[in-house]
Amino acid sequence: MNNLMSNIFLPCVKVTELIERRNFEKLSFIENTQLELHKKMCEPCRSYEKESLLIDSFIKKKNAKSFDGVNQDSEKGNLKAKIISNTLSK
Amino acid sequence: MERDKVFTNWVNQYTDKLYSWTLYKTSSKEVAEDIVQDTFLSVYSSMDKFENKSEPYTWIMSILNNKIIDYYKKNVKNIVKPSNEPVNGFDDKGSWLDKKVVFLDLDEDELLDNSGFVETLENCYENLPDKWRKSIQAKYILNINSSEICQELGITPSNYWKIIQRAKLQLKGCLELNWF
Repeated sequence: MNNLMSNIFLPCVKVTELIERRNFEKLSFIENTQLELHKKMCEPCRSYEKESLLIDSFIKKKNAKSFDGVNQDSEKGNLKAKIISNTLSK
Repeated sequence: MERDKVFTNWVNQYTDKLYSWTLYKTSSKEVAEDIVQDTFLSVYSSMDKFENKSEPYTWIMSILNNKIIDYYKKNVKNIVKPSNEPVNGFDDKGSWLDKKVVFLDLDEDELLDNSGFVETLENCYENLPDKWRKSIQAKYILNINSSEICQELGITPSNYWKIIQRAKLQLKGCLELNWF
């Protein structure tokens, strides 16, 4: 019985790993069921999942921002000059 | 010299685009500048091999993208975490040590519009160990799937998820300490 229980109910440490893995690839049917079942009963893991998604959104937003900000960059003129003089002098 | 003239034209024409792209991919001005300069060095030294079969821009971009991947490879390659090392924050049965659930009732959009929160998260993110941060970034930056990332970085998929998990847990701890 104990064995059966531990097969169905994963520990939180394993569940948080599955949450990250799910971002990258499809989980097996069993893994998915284990994950959903666990989350239903475990508030801290639900909270972890939310935090994980929040951080992902943050990073996406941050990357998008640094992409937008580039065009006002006045240092790029210097970069061109630097590349030309460094490369052609070699 | 004809060759130098063509090269100078390419630099003037493509540097902005290459730089924006690289900055987007690496989030660091210094790194982006280095990579773009290095790319043009390679371009110059292999110009003879470029046969006008493709657009110069396409050719230069492929060199640039290889340099970006090299950069990530070099920086993240050596993270091979022993997978049986216990993950911080859990007891020996794998249950949470701290069962706080601060994130559950929060609205994501509201938080990401809150400049105080974003600043705290930004600080926590910057304070992550370098290799962890780069591992997280790799997903968004290289825009390739996990098996490709692992192949590029020379790590196994299970190590990769464990690294992400550890990095997220550290961010969680940092946020709870400094914001909530």
